[in-house]
Amino acid sequence: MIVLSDWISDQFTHHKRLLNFNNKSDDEFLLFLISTVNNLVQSIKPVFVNGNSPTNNSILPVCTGIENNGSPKKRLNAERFPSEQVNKMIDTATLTTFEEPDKENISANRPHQKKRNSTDNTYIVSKQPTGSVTPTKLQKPFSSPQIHDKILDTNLMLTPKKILDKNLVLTPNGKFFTDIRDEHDTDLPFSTEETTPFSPRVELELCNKEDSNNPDVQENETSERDKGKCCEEDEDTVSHTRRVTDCRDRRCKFCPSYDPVYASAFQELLDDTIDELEELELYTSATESTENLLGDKPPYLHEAVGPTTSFSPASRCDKLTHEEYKGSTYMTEDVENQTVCSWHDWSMMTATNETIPTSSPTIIVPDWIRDLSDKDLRALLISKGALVGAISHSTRIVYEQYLVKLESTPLSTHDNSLEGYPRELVSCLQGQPQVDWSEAEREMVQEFQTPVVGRRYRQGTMKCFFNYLLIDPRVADDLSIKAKTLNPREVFKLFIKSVFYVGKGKQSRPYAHLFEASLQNKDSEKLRRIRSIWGGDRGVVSLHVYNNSIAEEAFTREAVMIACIGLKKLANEKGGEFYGVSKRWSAQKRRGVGLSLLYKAHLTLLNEGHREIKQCDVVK
Amino acid sequence: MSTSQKMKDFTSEPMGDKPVKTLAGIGEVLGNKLIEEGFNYAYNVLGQFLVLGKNEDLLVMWLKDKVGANSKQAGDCAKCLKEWCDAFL
Repeated sequence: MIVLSDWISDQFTHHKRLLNFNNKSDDEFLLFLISTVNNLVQSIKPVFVNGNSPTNNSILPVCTGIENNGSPKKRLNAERFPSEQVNKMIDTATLTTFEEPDKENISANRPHQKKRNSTDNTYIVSKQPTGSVTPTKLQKPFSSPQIHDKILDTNLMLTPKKILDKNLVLTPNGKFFTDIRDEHDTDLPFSTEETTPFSPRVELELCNKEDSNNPDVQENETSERDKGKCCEEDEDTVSHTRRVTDCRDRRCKFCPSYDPVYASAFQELLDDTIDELEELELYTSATESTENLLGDKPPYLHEAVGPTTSFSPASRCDKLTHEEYKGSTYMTEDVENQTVCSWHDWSMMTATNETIPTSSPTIIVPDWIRDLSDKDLRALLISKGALVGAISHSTRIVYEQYLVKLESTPLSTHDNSLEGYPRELVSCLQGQPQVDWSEAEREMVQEFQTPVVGRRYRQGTMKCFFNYLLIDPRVADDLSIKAKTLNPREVFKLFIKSVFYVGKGKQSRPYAHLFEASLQNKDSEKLRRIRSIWGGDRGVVSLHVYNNSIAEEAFTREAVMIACIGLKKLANEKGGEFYGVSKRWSAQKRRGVGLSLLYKAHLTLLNEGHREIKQCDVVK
Repeated sequence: MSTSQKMKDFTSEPMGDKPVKTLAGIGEVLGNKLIEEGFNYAYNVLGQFLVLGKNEDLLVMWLKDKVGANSKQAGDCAKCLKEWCDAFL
């Protein structure tokens, strides 16, 4: 005996009305249903023979969410279900119903395969050994998702677990699968409260019921397909958002493998069933009722259905076959069938959302770059620090544009090697236009050129002082040689990076540091640096600049240079001291002048070349 | 930035013979343009990416130039391939 739950009996009444069987008896309608079911079962059977012969191999793969390549993706529980048993169960079901029509109800969700997006000839055959169902009035279409959920939950409560267990879903590709429900049924939360943590499996339930509650719109939708549609629109409703999220999660669990045998068999089957249904004129009546029903559907279903129904059956069909024949191996029967998660759906979905590409402003490649040979282009790019792959006709354009981009953007924007240097220096090294500081520099040292008689100067007015820069040759090696190949900005950058001490002194003051370093009994950052240079069998470069100045001038020049590079980047213990007019300058102006001084110092180094002072030169 | 589903799908497994439209950022329109250019499969684009030295910026420029992709699309595609390379190459 087959007894169906409330909603199925509702469907029975509902369908009867929709299919214009109102003036006929229940029995007549039931007979009609059964014949339809039988037709469909007949039309499915050949697939078994083509795909998996039930006689030889009674075990059919139950679900298709299996990938062959062993990717880490989650998979659907693959169940195996004896096909013979299923056939038997269906046969028994229909047979019994036929014999005792007054006591039993059966509902079959009839497919209307005209809509190819909704392809499933899915029957839900529910068996229940005991209990009967009194036909209830047709429930009004649901006005809100919340109410909808509640009703569905109630349905769940009304439906004993055993019914769910025996629900068999038959898919047109000849594979059987039980729902994901399977052994987890006990987990189903039956609460109708909105706050209940959402369970994906209830979602499946919901969708199944939605299918059945809105049969004319969705009866040929499988639950996953249905959910896929839900995903296409964002909803305000919290519960629905949750559902959507869940659908998306679920999607990735299904990544079906391609099975050409099934796909082609399914295609044939679809064509056959469509023909049959056209004969039965089911399709037309169904579409009419779809239109009638749409007005009363819950809002989210409206939106959910919208985009999909906008596919005309023909165009959808074309699309699918087109994809298939293109030989795209990821085209699966499941796209039409059960799961929505294949790449195909996603690409189609993104395609609909995709805005027409707006081409970004094109980079104009100047002629001189176009005229470069591949080799020169490559060399130029490498000189700019770019990683260059093969330059061939297919990549040349990109590299030309890349060169333009590199030319236009400052050299050092990409590297953070200038981090920690003061703003003025960084902007200079990035090639931004600089203020001419030479006037300020002259102003700064003007008063030291003719010392005022009678005024006390620190360390006297002897013009024997100079500034020196201690340079680490490991950073830049000999800049005077490198300068021939590198661009000037890069050379200056290397120079700045290699300076580790700025000082002032007279006579052999710079050597005092080196001597100190050789003594081993003192320690400071400067000394460590000198020792490490020596340790690498190199020598310190002492660059003497701005000779023949009085002490205060040298102090001032030292101070602006330290300010320019920044104490952080130097081994100096303390910043310099300012004398004269520069005392009242802003830090920015000081750094600017310092930059100017450093630049000239670096030019000196380039002119003179460097001579390293090794440890053996100091210790005799 | 969270990755899209398409990106996750693509980068989670070997690309095999996946069509070019499975690449993140490549939808129907760009996909068709790429196919017109002879890039039928994702691995064609991967090849270009590899020739460009796995440089995302360069692939972005190439996509913009070749099929008129916008920055978002091209960036997604480049990121997708980069991640795939990191995982499977």
